[in-house]
Amino acid sequence: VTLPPIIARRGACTALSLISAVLVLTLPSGDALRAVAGLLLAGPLPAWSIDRLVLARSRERPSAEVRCSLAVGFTLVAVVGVGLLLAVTPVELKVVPMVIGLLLVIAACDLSSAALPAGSALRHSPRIAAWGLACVAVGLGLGVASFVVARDSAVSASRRQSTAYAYLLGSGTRYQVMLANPTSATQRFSVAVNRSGVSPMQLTRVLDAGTQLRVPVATTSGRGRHRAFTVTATVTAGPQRGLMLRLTAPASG
Amino acid sequence: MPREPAAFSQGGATSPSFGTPSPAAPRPAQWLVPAFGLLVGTMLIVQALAGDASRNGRAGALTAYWISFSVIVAAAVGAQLLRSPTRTQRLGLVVVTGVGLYTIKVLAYPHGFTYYDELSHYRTAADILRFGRAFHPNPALAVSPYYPGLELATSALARLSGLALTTCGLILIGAGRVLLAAALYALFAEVTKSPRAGGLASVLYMANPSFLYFDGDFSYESFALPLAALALLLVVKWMRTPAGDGRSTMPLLRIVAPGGREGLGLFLGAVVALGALTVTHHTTSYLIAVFLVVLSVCALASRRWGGTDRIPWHLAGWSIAMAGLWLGLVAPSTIKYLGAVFGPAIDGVKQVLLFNQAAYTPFSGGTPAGRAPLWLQILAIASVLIILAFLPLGLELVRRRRREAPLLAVGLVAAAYVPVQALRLTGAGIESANRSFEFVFFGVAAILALCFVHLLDHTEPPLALAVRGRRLLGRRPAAAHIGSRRLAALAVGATSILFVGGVIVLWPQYGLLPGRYIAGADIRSVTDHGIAAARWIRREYGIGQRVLTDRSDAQIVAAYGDGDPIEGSVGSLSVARVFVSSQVDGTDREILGSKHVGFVLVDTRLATAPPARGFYFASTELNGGTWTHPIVRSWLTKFATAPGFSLVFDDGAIQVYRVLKAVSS
Repeated sequence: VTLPPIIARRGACTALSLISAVLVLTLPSGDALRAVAGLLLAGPLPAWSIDRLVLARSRERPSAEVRCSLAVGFTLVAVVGVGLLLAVTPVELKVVPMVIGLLLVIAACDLSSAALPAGSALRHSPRIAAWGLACVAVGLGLGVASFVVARDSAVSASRRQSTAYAYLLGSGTRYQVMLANPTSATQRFSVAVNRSGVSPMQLTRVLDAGTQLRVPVATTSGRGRHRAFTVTATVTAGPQRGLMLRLTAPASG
Repeated sequence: MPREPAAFSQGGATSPSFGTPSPAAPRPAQWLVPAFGLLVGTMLIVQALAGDASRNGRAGALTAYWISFSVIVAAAVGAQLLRSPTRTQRLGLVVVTGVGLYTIKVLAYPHGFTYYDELSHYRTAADILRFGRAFHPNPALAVSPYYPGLELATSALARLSGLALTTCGLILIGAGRVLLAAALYALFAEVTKSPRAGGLASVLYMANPSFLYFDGDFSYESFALPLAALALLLVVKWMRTPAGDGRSTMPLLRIVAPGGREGLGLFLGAVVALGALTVTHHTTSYLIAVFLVVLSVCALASRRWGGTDRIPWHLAGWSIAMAGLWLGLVAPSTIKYLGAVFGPAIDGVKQVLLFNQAAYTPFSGGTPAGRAPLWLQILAIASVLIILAFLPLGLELVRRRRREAPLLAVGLVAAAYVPVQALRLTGAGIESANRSFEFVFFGVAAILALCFVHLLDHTEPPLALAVRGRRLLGRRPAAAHIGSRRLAALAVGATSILFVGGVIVLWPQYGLLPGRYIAGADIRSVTDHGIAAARWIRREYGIGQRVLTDRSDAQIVAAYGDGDPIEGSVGSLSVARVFVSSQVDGTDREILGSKHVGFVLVDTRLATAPPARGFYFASTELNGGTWTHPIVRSWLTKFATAPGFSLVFDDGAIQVYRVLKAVSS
């Protein structure tokens, strides 16, 4: 397989870089296309232009491992370098200066490689039999599948670990008692409030999956001070039945 | 198909052959790399299923883990021992091996950072992303912000792609792993002047105990090692470039690269790579500077024996200057940090030299649950013995080729393996020894590869020398006596032991696969409970909250809660005293007040078992290293009834107490 001449590849690299830069600057964070464009701009595109730099102007053609090392290595060095330059100056590490910095790196490499002979080490690529390609594809697929299996397993375990919790908001003179149920099932809570000098209060609340609510507990007295109190929330129905949560606060003043 | 140099493509028949060259030229096996990729992919599926089984407490998880891991490494070594692969195929094999082993680490915890060091560096990256500036203080690892290479790249990638920091971190460390594999192969092939030995050496390097997990996690060393390999590759390439008479026409280049025009690109490339290394990791940059000095001395010495390699004095000078300037001007706190790491090692060496028996503590520390079973401990010891057995032969081979300066320097690095192992015998020196493996193995791997290739190819009887004496086997090929395939099988077996033993040497059983919570176990102590509590503190009270808690939750608070975990001591008292006392007394209040503690985060699961690492909070705590029973639960929950504390968060496992001003005053 003969690759196109270097001038054509340089043009393709420049065009792809500009398109990626525009996508990065215009698309919102979280967009899949933006992610691909950002990764391209910080990885394969600089590597592509760096690959054509010949550090050793020697007679021998650089071997595949040397080319691979130089392309990947100096791409990482370029990202670190641009990042450091921005992060220690008032410019700061933001999207626009980062894009400009990487475009300059790619342009500099393209211009440097222009003076070199058109023939490069990339002229030929090894022939791989069709079944060899199939093996590679299946191998990659298995690798991706293993990641998917592991991620799903981890997410499932994480869901099982998620638990209801109770917490206090505020301080000093006024508290709010909150219950949260980040699990994936509805749970019923029995809440008991004990305040010094005041008769206990008992109430029941049902929380849907992934919700939280404020428990109406009056913690302040008429003078704006609150008494010491203890809140005990017990899960009476749901996957975490029997779980007991406690909150305490001393008297203010 | 690109042709191989004649010296590398001779020997073997049409089928892949291990041993003695035959007149017919071998045909490279087209199926080799795809088939190996297929095998690795299949074993990764087994790894993922093993992780799932471990998470769900099913039996057989560890067995599946060891089998799939061993198959990958045995196949990788076996493929490199073949004579037929081309340089490009060997590159493919090395890269697939490196990435495959990295994926094993990723599969254990695929959706976030959980390793102790990862949490520290995640905080640095998050700060860079948040503030847009470098050098923001990091309470989890004070020295980390001053070596921000990895975190800068991660933050930049996150900014550009909009992906999460954890995703970008995984991608970058993966790219680093590709670079490390490729650069090591290129370097070893250049140093040994044999792609076969180079490929084998680069796979053997992956047997170092740190490679699988420690050097695959999101930390500055994982990113620095590939840069170091790149820098060394360029240096060695430059050394092998014939020195011409021409000088650079530009005056600036004459100052920057006084070596002349020949190899100027390699020289400047090496300087740039060394610069990136300097801003990424302290120890790696210092050791590379030392290595370049050793390399220069070796190049000078090799000239006595007819060596022609160029002497990299100027590159050594650049390396020392950059590392020194960065240390002096940007990161002076590194001295204190490294002193705390290597100081105990020096004490440990003194104890060993004084024959203090208490210092000899291999396989000690932690609870029995954390220790490997006997058969794995035997493998770990065997892995060390295999290296020690081959070192003399390898060094002899280096001595015969002493005209080659890079090989001479690599031999010296390999010889350092012996003192590093001695350091492991000291309890205090284990930490330093553990941090040395990835550097010492640079030499060990090359020496072992030379030995294996020599045994398979050459007509001298080194095995006989070592075991039975020279005359018994005469001067026929060792392979002819034992059989090349059998010898290759022995080599594969020995290197598989190296890999398995290497993991056991450094990693406790519980650290290999994910699973239920284990007290005081670092990685297995990082759970969603802790992360939810840390995030709750940040959400309700803001960043920078001062939190006193156990070792693992402190990392979580720093990383995911952007908090400021409290550590250290007040006078001679460790802050951990607050937890290991039966009631909150005046001393505890003094500690809380002096450290301006805002919250006490209590993980009641600590009371379920003795700490796997030997301590819950800090090594200086009461019973630190000697816990035989779990910590008393009432010691942890005493804050509920003590005046001055408000229990503001409870999820059943973790309780967060707000420390009221009354306590401090």
